[in-house]
Order: sequence, then C-alpha cells, then structure tokens
Amino acid sequence: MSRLKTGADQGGRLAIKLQDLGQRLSFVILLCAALILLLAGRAKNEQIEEFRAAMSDFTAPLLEFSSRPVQILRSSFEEVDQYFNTVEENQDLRKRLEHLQTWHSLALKLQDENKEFRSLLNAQDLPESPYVSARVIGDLGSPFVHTVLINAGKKRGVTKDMPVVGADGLIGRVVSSGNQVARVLLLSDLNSRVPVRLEISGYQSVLAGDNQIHPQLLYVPVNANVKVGDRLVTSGHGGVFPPGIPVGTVSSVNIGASETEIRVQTFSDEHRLSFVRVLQYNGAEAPPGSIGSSTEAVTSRNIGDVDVIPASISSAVIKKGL
Amino acid sequence: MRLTQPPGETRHLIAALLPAVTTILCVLAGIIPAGVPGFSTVSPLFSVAAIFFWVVARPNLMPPAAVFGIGLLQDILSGGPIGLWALTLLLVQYLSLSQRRFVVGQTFGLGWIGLSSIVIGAACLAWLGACLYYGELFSAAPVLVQAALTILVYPAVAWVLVGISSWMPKPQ
Repeated sequence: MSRLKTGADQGGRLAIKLQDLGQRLSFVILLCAALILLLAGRAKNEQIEEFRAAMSDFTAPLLEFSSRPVQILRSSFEEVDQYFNTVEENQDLRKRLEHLQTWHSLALKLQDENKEFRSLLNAQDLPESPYVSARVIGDLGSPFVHTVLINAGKKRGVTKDMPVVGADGLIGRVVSSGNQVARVLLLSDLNSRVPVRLEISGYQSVLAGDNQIHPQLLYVPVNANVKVGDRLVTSGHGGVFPPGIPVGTVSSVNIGASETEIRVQTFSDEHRLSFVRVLQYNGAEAPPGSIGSSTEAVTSRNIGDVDVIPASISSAVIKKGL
Repeated sequence: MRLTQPPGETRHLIAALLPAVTTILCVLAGIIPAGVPGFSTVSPLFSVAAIFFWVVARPNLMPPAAVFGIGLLQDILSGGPIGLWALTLLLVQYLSLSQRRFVVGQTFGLGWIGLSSIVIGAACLAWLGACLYYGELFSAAPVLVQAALTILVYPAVAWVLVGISSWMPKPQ
C-alpha cells in the first residue's frame, strides 16, 4: 500500500517536474520570439505592420465595447457641468453668434469676390477632398508613441497617409489602416513631420513632433522673425497634406546661443479628440475637375454620422482668427 | 465581493480563464480614451499589476504563453514596437515567479513592495527597449510617473482580483 503511494507520489512529482520544464522551455522560446519580433519590426518589416493592422481590426469591437461606459460617464459629467453653466453659456453664445453673423456675411462676400478673381485669373482651383467621419475609439498614448485609433478603415476608404483633421484644425495623418480601424499619428509624435507655412510672413517650415506636448518648428530662416502668436497652416509641400489647413500658433520662442527653439500650440487638443475627419486627399495626383464627385461623396458619406462643416468653410472661419 | 457559484466543471473552466481575461481587461483599461489631459501618456501599467497578482496567487493559471499573448495585445494596441511588451511582461512573469516564495502567505505590504520593485524594473526595461528601438533618448519622467501610478493603484487592483480569486475553486 505504502509502495503504491510512493509510486503515485513519484509519478506526481515527475509530472510537476515535467510541467515545470515545459514552462521554462516555453518561457525561453517565447522570449526569443519576442526578440525576433522586435528585430523584425526594427528592420521595418512590412508584414509586421500588416499583422498589426489586421490585429487592430480584431480588437476594435473590444475597444468600442469597453470605451462605451467611460464615454457615457464623460458625457454625463459634461451634462451636469453644462446644466450649471447654462445661463452663462447662453449669454456667451449669443454674443458669439452676433459676432459670427458679421463674419458670415463677410465670408460669403469674400467667397464671391474670390471666385470672381479666380475666374479672372483663370486660376486652377484645388479640388476639395471628400472626407470620412470617424470616432476615436482608443487613446493609445504611451511615453513613446502618440497615436489614436479611429473606427474607420479600408472599407470606408481610409488608407495610409491620409490627413486627419478635427473641428479646430490638423490632428495628424493615418499611419496604418485595417479594414475597420485605422491608426492616426498625432502631431506630437516623434515620427510626425508636417510641412507648414507661417500664415502672415509666408515662410516655409516643418512642424516636428518630439513626444512633448508642444511640437517644434524646424528649419525656420534666421530672418523670419517669428513671434509668439504667429499662426501656422499646412503648406501642401510633399503632397500628403492639402495646403491651408490650420495647424496652430507659435507658443514660445527661445533664442539660444547656437539655435532658436520655437514651439507650437496646436489648435486641436490631442487629449479631447472624439470625432475626426479623414480627408481623402491624394496630393498632387488629384485629378482636376473632381469637385462634383467629391461633394457628392461628402454628402452621402456623412448622413447621420456627425454634424460637420465643409472643410473649406471651417478653415476659413478659423483663419479669420475666431 | 462574493459571487454566486455555478456547479463544478463550468466553474473550473471559468476559473482557469479568469486570470487571463482580467489581465486583458487591465490592458484595455489603460488605453480607453479617459479625456484627462496627459493621462494616456502616463496611464498605469495595469497589466503588470495583474500579472504580478496572478503569478503570486495562481502561478499555474498565468503561464508564459498567456503572458506572451497579453503582451502582444498590448503592443498591437499601444502602437509601440511589436514584441516590446511581450518581452517585458514575460520578464515580469519570471521575476514575479521568483519572488513568489517570499511573498505568498505574507502580509499585503510585502507583496506591495515586491510589486513596486517589479513595476519599476518593467518600466525601466520598456523605456530602455523603446530608446534602443527608436534610437532616441526619451525622457524617463513619464515612465517613472507611470510606474508610480501603478504602485499607487495596486491596492485597488489587488482588491478586485482578490474578490475574483476567492470565488475561484481552491487549487488541489
């Protein structure tokens, strides 16, 4: 009886040892696998990016599901907040409405005038890009990467390198796109480079992210005389971003011994993104005369989605400094 | 936190999955848009806390394969280098396992100290990995804030997970 018991004991111990060995072995194998994945990613392996895009698709429903309760909580907090501020807000809005109505009529007048001049000059109009509205479902900030995940992908015509804008201005560009979701690289990310133009002086520059809240302006000519408060718009160089999208204002200018550091406060608030627009802009290759078809695409795509203002009008309003 | 108990086998099956499922939920908790400025940059490393807890409480239910999968999920979702969190979490699992005999059956405080050392180690490793990967010297401040927040929220995470593990059938 006791021998039987020791036999069973030994068997049990062996099983535990084997299990232990298996765990150790799988640990080593998986550790190697993780290292190989890292090295493959470092070598800019296309398949790794495709794999990530496909997997992001798979996780999208999970994210949407889990972001719902937080969103409800957020909106209910905002509602309570609004309830207490209704009177003040109302007064404020009335004032702004009055103010904006003057601008509105002026904008219409200028638009007409502009059209007339353009036809006089026989200037080629840039085709307006159609766009897709999407919701931010994942705020994927980490100390190293500044991206967000949106719930529109290839199925809705969102592909790599498309510019993404919010109600206030440029947000970033699409870096990878699955069928259902796409990842947007924000302006503050280390890898973000956007060709911009100083609105008044017209100097060209590059807005470069460095993982800090305020991205940096690079390659500004020494005689540009940049001041705090100067406004920046996309220059359209490079073909990824259409020209004229509002980007931000200069927030600080530090003149150092060897170089000047210029930082920019972007118009869009990276931490409060909820709805965004992906511009289906294909840069220099845009076929002329695609205006009609693009407006059609805009209206059909956005029914029942979000209350959106055409990009041209909203940017015109922003440019006026409102 | 006592939950109702379904009969035998189903309970065992659910129990076997619970550690992985709760850790995945922890990964998701870190990336939901919270609407708090700057929070997403320093959101706590819930997954490290959960893996530490489960390795100490139920080492058999948190095998390297599960940890690898969870790390990969975190890599995919966070947009960072694929394999970085898989690697970091595997080491977290290994270190937690090696600390287990000092921590198991001891006071909560001792476990908390154990977790703190592991979280700081994991954060530094992730930082180092990212610096090497991108070839750029990142500021270490957000990573340390992340580690500090994780240590601060650990009692709350542990409280929820203790509730869940007390519902699970005892290991034989």
